[in-house]
Amino acid sequence: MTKQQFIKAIGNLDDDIIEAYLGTPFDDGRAVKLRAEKSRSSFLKFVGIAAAVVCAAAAAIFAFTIFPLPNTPADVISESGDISDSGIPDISSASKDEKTPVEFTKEDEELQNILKELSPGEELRDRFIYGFLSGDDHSEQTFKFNCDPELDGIYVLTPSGRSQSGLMYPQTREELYKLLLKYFTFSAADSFMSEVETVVKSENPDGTFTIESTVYASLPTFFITADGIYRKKDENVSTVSGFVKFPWNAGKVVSKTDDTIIFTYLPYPTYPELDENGNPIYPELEDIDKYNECALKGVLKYERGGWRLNLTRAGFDFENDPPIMVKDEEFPDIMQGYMEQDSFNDKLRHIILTAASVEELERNVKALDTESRVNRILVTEYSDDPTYYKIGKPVTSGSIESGKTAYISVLYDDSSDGVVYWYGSWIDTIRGEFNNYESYGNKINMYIKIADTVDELKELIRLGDFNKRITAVRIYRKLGEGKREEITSGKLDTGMTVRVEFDVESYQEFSKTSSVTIT
Amino acid sequence: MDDSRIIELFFERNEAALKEVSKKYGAYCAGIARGILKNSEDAEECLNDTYMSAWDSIPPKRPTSLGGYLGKITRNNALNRINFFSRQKRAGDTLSFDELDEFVSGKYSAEDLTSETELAAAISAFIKKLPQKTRELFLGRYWEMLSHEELAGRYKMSESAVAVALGRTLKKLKEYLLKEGFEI
Repeated sequence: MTKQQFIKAIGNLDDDIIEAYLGTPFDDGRAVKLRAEKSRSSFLKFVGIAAAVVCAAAAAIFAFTIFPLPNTPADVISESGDISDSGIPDISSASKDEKTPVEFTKEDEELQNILKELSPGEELRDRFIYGFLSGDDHSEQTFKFNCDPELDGIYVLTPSGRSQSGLMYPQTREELYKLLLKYFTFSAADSFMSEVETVVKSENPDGTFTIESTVYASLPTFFITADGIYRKKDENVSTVSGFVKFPWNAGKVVSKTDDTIIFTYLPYPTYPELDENGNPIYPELEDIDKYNECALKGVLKYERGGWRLNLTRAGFDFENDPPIMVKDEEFPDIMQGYMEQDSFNDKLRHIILTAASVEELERNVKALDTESRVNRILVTEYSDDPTYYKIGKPVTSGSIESGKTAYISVLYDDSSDGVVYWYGSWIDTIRGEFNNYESYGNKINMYIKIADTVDELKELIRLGDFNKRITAVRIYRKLGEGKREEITSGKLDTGMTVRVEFDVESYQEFSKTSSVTIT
Repeated sequence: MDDSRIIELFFERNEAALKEVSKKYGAYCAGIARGILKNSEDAEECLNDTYMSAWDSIPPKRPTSLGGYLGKITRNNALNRINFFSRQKRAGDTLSFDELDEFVSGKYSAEDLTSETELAAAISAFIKKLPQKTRELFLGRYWEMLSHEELAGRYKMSESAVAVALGRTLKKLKEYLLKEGFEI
C-alpha cells in the first residue's frame, strides 16, 4: 500500500462516520454554524461556565474556566421539535418522564440549586453556572452515564462528545442536572486535559448503556512579564501563534507589590460565541464587572525564590492551599525565580556549565563554597550496565562532555537544591515542589513514561532521588467505581496512578499516559 | 431546509438546491477545503467544484447523509487541486504524512487496487470502534488533513500528545488490517 492509497481509502469512509465527525463543533465555527441552522432558540441556548480543579496531592491546585456550551441541547434540538431533521426529540416532553430521582451528592448541590431555577426553553446566554470539585485528586476522574437512545427526553452530549454518537438521554430532569454537572466537570477538566478516554463499558438489561470516561488532566502554565500575565498557548486554543495574552483581554491586575500580584480574569471560553463571519468573540476586559460572579482571582506570590501562582474563583478562599509553582525557560528573567542575579545558584550553574572535567568542577565548586553549603557533587556517565543505563554511572574523574556525561548534580543547603545535567540539556532542580517543569515532577513523569514495569519505575525513581526526598512510591490500578488497588509488581500500564510520597507528609500522584504530563 | 427536501430539489433539477446547499453547508465545506488547501481563493474554487459535482451526481446518486457526501466531495476536490498544483510544482501545495512511512510499505500491488473499496470498509469498521477523541484525531489528520499543530490547537493537546495518539492508532490499524488479510 502507498500513502496515496491510504489517503484515498480514508476519503471513501462510510458517510455516517464523516457526518458524525463533521458534526464536531470546531472552534472556527464551522460545525457550530451548521448546528445553528438546525435550531436557535430551544433550551439552554448558551450555557456558560465550567470549572476545573486539578488537585495534586499536597499541592492542591485550583483553576476555573468559563465557556458557553454549544453542545448543549440548544445546538442540536430542532426548534420545531420535529425529529425528522435532527433526529433529536423536542425537550418539551422530557419533563413528563418521571423515574427514580438521582441521588445527589453534596458537591452537586450548588449547581443543582442553580439549575433548578431553569425552565425549558430559557436562554442562558447571560447566565453563568459554575461548578467545581474539590478533593484529594481529580487529576484522574471516571464518570459514568446511562444513555438510552430509545427514550424521548432531554439530552446532553457526552463530556468529550461532539458528535451524534455522544448523545445521551437522561430519563428525568434530576438526571439531567446530574449529567450537566458531570458535563461541566468534565468540560472543565477538558480545558486542561492531555487525554480523555471514553468507552462504552456495558449495555445494561434495561436498554441503557454505561459510558465511562477518564480524564488525565494537566496543569496550565502561566507566565508573568512586565506587561501582563500570559498563559502558554498550547494548553488552550493555539490559533494565535506565540503566547496568548492571559487572560485573553479579560483580566486585570488588581494590586501589585514587590512580592504579590493579585489579578482578576475571565477564563478563556472554550467554545466562544461567533460573530457574523464565524470568528470567535472573546470576553473583553470591561466584561469583568459584568461577569463578576464568575470572574476568577489569581494571586502570584514570590516565595522561596520563585513566583507561585494560586488561582481561585472570586469569593472562594483557597488561601491555605499550596500554590502552583510556575516557571518557563522562555521567560527566564522573570519566571526563573531560582536564578537570582549573582546568586550562589547562578554562580554554581555557571561553574557546572563551563567545567571541562570532574576535577575542574570540584575545584571550582570548592572555591565558590566558602560557607560550606555544598553537600554533594555527583557526576554520572552513560553506561551499558542495565543498573545505570537510564541514569548514568557515577564517576569521580575524567572529562565532562556531551554524549558522555549523563548527569551532574551539585547539592547544597538543607533545602537540597542543585543543578542537573540531563541527557544534553540543563535543568534546574526544585525547592520543595514537585509541581514544576524540569524538576522532580518532570523526572518522575519521564521515568513513568519509559519504565515498563513497576519494579523498573521504582528503581528509576530511587536512582533519580539524589536528594533522598522520596519516602515511598506506590502504584495503583483502577478498579472502576472510583476504587483502585495497589500493585507491587508487574507491567506498568497506561491509566495506572503513581503516588510518590516525599518530604514530610507530602505526596503527589502521576498518571501513566501517552504523553509526559505534570499533574 | 431538511436534507431530504434539498435532495428532492436536486432531483427536480431545481437550482434552488444549490442555493440551499450553499446556505446550509457552504461554510462547512469551505472550512474543509481551507483546511486542506490553506488558501481561501483555492478553497472558494474548490467549493464551486463541489457544488458542480453535487449537481452532476445527484441524481442518480441519492446520498443518505448529505453533509457527509458533500464533505467527501469537497475533500476529494481539494486533494485533486493539491495534486494538480503538485504537478505544476507550485510551492507549498504538498501534503506531508511522514508518520505514514512506518505504516505503509510504499509499494503498489494489483491486490491493493482491487481491494480499495474493501480497504475503506475495513478502515470504517476500525474507526467506528475507536474512542471518540481518538477517532476525531485520526479523521482530523487523515480525512481533514490537519497538521499536528492544528489538531493540538483544536483539542487543546500538545503536539507530541497528538503525534503519540496518532501513532498508537496507526499501529492498531495496521494490526487490524493485517489481521483482516490486507497487505500493508
